[in-house]
Amino acid sequence: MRCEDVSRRLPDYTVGCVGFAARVRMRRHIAACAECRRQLDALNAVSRLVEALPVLEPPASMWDSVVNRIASRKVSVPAPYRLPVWRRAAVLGAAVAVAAAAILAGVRREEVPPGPVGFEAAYVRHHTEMTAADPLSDHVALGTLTLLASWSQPSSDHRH
Amino acid sequence: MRTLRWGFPAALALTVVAAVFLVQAWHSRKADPSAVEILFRAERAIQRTSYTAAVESVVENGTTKARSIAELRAAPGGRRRVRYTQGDLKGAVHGSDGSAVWRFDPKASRVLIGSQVCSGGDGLLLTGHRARLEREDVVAGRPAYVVSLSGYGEGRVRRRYFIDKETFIPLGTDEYSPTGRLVSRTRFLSVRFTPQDPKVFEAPQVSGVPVVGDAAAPTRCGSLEELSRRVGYKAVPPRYVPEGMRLVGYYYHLCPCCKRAAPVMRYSDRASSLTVFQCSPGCQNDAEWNDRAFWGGTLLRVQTRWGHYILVGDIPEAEMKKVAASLAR
Repeated sequence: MRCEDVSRRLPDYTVGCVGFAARVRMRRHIAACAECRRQLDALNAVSRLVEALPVLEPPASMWDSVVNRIASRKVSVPAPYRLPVWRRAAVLGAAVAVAAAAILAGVRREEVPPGPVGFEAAYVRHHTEMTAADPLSDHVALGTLTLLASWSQPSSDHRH
Repeated sequence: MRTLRWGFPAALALTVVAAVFLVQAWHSRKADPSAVEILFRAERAIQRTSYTAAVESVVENGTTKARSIAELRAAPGGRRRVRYTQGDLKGAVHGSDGSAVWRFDPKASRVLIGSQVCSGGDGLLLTGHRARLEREDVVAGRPAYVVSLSGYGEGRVRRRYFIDKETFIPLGTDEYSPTGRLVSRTRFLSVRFTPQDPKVFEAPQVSGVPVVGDAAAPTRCGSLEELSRRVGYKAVPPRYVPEGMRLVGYYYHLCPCCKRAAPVMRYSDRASSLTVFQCSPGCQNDAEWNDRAFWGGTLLRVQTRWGHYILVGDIPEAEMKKVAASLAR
């Protein structure tokens, strides 16, 4: 199973709307793929946030008042303007597309991990200094990285 | 009968079409010859041309982002000097006179000097990369080729060069992280092709600022045996390195963890490179990280029966893991 297939079916997977065989295949893929696991975690986090919202119970008299208001409109108010079917479909489609794009943007946004610090920064500094000897290397970028890495090193290593 | 009469030509036509598709697919797998030629010329041009350029750069390392404008001076023999004139690194200078690398960091108030590490081999090796001439662009008012490099098996652009059509000097470089995020963007704002005074490539003399040798910097060794003697234990290189990579050399450096001499093995195809740091057997490098992304590359920490290794490189992560696995065996 490819990452694209898993990514497309992840929302269904989180709510149990995937067949048994597909579920097993997705579970195997997610266990082996860090990127898909991250997407799943992000989706689960959103679900948990939604589930954490309090459930509001409407007052018992609400239904009666709604019915009364509808009945009174039928008598006194002319029928409200309704959009043609194709326009309603277009509006609904656009709303669904916007919601899907928002969800995908949230899910697919890459989390940038922090840069190397401490000993890691020291190794990066040695690597970038040596890489600068390659003719096609970007000397300005590598020099910048070397300086950033030297600022992130432990102070004992920073000054000899 | 009629079916037979038309069946054979139809089958033949289908076979020919399939063969054409196969040949095209095979050729598209290989590097674009014009892109390779441009990169070869660029590599030669860099080693032969003197110039002064104003360069704008944005470099991202994790959550840190540095924006700078620098003056880059370059001359044949690998000599270069980068002086940051504006931005986050203003005042810093680094360079090489061809035999020693140095840098002045105003924050550290010292000039550090180390020996220059030579690049591997005589020429660019692109065995492990796919080079593609994407388009043409204009950088610093000069027409430029845009050539992308991607690792085989990745299908993702790792680096994009903007190479001057007249002189073949790279006028800009884009670097991408293993996940495809743009992590650095360097562009020439202006460039002048003028001879350079050799003195500008020497370590600067700043009044009141000491010039010190970089004790931690890698020092070259002639062979693996010499390296083992220098560090006092067996230096064990990886059994596997990615296709197209060559050994640049064996070095020893001051291990950042235990401050003892430790082996460094360096591999490069002159477009990408891999540095393998071997910790000493008693090194207490018990950091919690195993792999970490940095800029356009990856750090990988692996525990073997020889001790810890730290691999740093801008090669595909899958290849990095193969190298790590070959060390663990």
